[in-house]
Amino acid sequence: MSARLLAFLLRAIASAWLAVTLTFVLLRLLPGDGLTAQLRESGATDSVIAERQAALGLDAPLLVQYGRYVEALLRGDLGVSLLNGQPINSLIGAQVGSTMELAIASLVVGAALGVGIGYVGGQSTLQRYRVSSRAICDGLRSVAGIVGIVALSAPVIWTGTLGVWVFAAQLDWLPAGGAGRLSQLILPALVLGFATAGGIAQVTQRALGAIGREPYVQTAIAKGLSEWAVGIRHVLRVALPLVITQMGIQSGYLLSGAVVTESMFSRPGVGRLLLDAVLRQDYPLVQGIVLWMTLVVICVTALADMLALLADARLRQSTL
Amino acid sequence: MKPAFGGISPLLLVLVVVLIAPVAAPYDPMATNTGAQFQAPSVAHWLGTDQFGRDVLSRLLHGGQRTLLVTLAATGIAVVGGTLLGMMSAYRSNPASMSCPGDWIVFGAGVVMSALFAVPALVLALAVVTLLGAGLPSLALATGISQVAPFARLIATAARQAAAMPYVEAARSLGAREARLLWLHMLPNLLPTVLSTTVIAFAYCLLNSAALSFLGLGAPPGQPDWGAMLFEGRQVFRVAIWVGLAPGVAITLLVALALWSADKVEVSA
Amino acid sequence: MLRRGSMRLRSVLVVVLMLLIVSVGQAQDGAVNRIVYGLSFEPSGFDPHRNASAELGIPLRMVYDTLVYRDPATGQFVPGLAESWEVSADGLVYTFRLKQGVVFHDGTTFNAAAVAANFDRILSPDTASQKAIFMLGTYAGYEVMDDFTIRLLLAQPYSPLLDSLAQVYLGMASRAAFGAYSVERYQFHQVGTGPYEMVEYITGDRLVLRRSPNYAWGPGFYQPPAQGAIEEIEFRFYTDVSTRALALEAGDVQVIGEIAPTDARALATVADLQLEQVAIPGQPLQFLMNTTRYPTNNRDVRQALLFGTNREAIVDAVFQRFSPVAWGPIGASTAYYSAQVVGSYGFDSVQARALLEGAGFVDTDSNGYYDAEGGDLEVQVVVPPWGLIPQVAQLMEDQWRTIGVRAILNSVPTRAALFEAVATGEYNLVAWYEFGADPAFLSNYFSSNGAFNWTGYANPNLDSLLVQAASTLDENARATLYAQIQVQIMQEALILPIRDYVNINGISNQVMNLSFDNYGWFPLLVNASLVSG
Repeated sequence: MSARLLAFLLRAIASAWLAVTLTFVLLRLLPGDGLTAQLRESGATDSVIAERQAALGLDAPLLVQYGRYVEALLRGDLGVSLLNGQPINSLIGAQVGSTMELAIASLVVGAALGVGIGYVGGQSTLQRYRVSSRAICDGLRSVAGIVGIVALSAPVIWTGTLGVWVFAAQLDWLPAGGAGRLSQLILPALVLGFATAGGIAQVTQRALGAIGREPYVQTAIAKGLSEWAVGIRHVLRVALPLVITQMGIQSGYLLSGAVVTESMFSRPGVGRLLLDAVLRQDYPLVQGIVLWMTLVVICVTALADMLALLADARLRQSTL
Repeated sequence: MKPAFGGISPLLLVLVVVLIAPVAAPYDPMATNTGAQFQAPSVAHWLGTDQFGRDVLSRLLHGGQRTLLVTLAATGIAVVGGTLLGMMSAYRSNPASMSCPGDWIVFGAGVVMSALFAVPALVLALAVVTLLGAGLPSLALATGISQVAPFARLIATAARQAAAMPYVEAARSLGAREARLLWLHMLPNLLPTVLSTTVIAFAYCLLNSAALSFLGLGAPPGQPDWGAMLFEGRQVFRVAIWVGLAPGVAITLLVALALWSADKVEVSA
Repeated sequence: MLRRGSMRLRSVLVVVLMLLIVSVGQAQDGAVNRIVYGLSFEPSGFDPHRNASAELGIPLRMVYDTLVYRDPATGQFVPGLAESWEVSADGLVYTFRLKQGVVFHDGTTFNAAAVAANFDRILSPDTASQKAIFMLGTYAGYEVMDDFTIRLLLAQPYSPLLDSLAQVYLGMASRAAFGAYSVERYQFHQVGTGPYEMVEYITGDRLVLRRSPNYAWGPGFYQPPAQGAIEEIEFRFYTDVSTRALALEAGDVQVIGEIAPTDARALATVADLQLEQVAIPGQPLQFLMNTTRYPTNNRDVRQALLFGTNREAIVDAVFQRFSPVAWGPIGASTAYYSAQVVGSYGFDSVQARALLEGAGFVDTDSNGYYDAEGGDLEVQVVVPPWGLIPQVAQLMEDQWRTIGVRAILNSVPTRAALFEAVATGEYNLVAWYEFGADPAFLSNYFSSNGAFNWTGYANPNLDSLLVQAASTLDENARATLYAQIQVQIMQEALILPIRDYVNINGISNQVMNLSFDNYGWFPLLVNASLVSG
């Protein structure tokens, strides 16, 4: 176990290092940077610009800059923003809460929608034993199937625009964007949640399909329990860990989805910070955010793996 | 193999239709007519006109071809890179030690995969666009690279499962070299998986290139492209929702068809 | 089972409703006279001495006073923290006599030492000023004469100095405050002498101002209302353009700027709000034409492009008629604007084709484009993503198709990328604009050694006109010189102007008397009042 942990840590560190190095190289390949562009626009002469760059160590050879950067990283120092001199740790820290808020709200929406869609869509295996409400269930299943695939397939920009058009522009039920009030979280969470619901629905449906064929479920049905009760009591409980694992996997997607969603709804957050930093070519800030995202993705993936193990164990336990 | 291709034949058919669709376009997709700005769908313009009085239907038909070419190129990059990376993580190894060369290959592939996962498509796109200039090739390259890691992950899972199969064990006990095993024995057997994964990658490339267009890193201004049209539609949705509606529906349908086909391939495989 | 489902649905709805009620309740708490003001992006930093964005001035104009002001009605300089000033005959010494009895929000006294400390701060390498320091031109130092008299010394005459001193980037801050915080932290704890005090700035979220109770030293045009003054202003960032108009309609904000023209058209019919279109002085949106690269090195080609561009159609389609067509190198609200250029190069595609044919271009392969070295007559256009420039460029591309010129649009994603594209010299036109009330910036663009001489034009006559105009202190002489300069730039067809920049602000009818200062961007919130609606 400790060897496995070591291998995991080694891999995490190597991945983070590679991601940071890739970003460093990619950004330095680009001509110019945000600060130089700003100074030039303000009318600074070439010699003043050179002075400023020297003060920040930007005149050093690339390899030296890289060495300094890695050395600072090892001390836990992400550096300071090129444009406002603020420590990157605190810049990211200030935005994490808002992104987490959106991610959690979206996961809740996505889980509720996804499990709902998957549950309805996965009824077939149970419904086989009851003929009475078959037509209704078939209808429901088709609807669930369509909603599920649309959730997987629709671009977030498009669902976001439609959501704003319907709920903000036409119906005037919800604010179109901004932050500070809870009502402003609803629309972005719905849009991003809808996008994550597709994957969760798939997993739920597959889990239901697999578990519904298990003898103990069929026994329960044979005992005369209603299919919905069976579904909720036996099947969903067992499928839940799998769904949670899927939600963990979706967290990585949520981070990249946050870039588009946050900017589309004028919300603060790490995603918007990244977009601003990229477009302003604030290199140290971009690097810091990429590192942060790498660590989050690695941790979440590890967590999802652990949950998968746990779910597997529980599955075996309850089957026995 | 036959049922596998049978599963994607509807998709292939649609792709061919999209590729030749520009011939059906009733108007020049670039011709502006500012007097006819934001006309609602009508007999003359089935899908209405945009901010410059251009026919949305014609732009949709022309844009499909461009979007598809970008997506196919991106998918190609994702498939090649992802298969290489994914297969490498199936080298025989012992996760608890670092004793044989296979372990290091697996480790390296895993590291590259998670690092690629972490570099945001946005950063990649900005770098590619700035270095190669904005345009469809840059969009394809940025989109393709950003899909290498997800593709590799799916292939890796399948390859690890396959590595435990009896035929692999048999070949191994006969003394086959690991590389030979992977590329000559396992890869052909994994082709159905590669195919279904390719179709999934196609779907995500399509979605991703649309997102990059939203961030202003896509096709040159004015050229029809579904992602760019989506972006234009977003800017004017208050006065003309139809501008973004059509490309949104088109992208959703095509992605849905691809995902559905991938499912069919998986089932038949 | 259905009942159970609907019960659950109902309880979810109840929770959502409760949350909505709670959040609405929160918004109505607090000060009665309070507004939310939507900014269109979050500047990379909010320190006026250090950072460069115009957006930072929207809140901070109310926090700081400047030594002088420009009267929005006349454009003339009027006393601010300096009650009077004199300029020496050689234009090298500016003597300011300061107002007495002015106190910073932290209670410290404003005097000559405070002014000196501000100049020290702006010039300090630690501050790493990105704009303010460059606005000082030939500034060489100061002399404190007595407690309330200070002299600024210049190395060379620099006529835009007063214009710089009238801007928020040279606002007077409390040295106690910037002494207490590091250069990076000061932006969160800013202290000035202005009509509003800074309460807090939470990055990514909001910046809050509160009315200062003791303010009594504003310039003449600061006319606080007798009643209903706005007590508290919360600035929030509406970075996505399409959320702005909706936020205003929903009542989430009471004032918001930079509304998209298409949204503004939709808002024009909404009863309880008004659109305030504010012309921003400075350069119009324009395409600078490269005179050193084929084919725009030929003046006939440049003029043909001007004649071949239907600016009215562009302003109609892209700006929904919310902007005036631009005819010259500076916008109509800029000082020393000359109307002599109005109407030059009106849309005339026949004239455009005649010019090109006169220059020897023919279309032998009759593909619709004139022939040129190795193919069709092409121009390379650098297109940045801001300011609706991509939309403008698309229309130009199609318009030029009819005069036989093919436009190749090259998108550049960032400012740095634009500078890089220009540095290669491989362009014929590049889209650009800069804001400013004083046209001194023209020297950067049209003098042969200007830092932004992207047209590559070099003419000693124009050079000397620009130097004279920037160093003369006499108003009338400057007006004459700048008129000549504007005419000459257009005669040489160095630029293709498109539209004067107009900021479309949306304002709730509850907010009365909100006007904007001479620079266009900055609201005079001190004069506004709030009526309960």
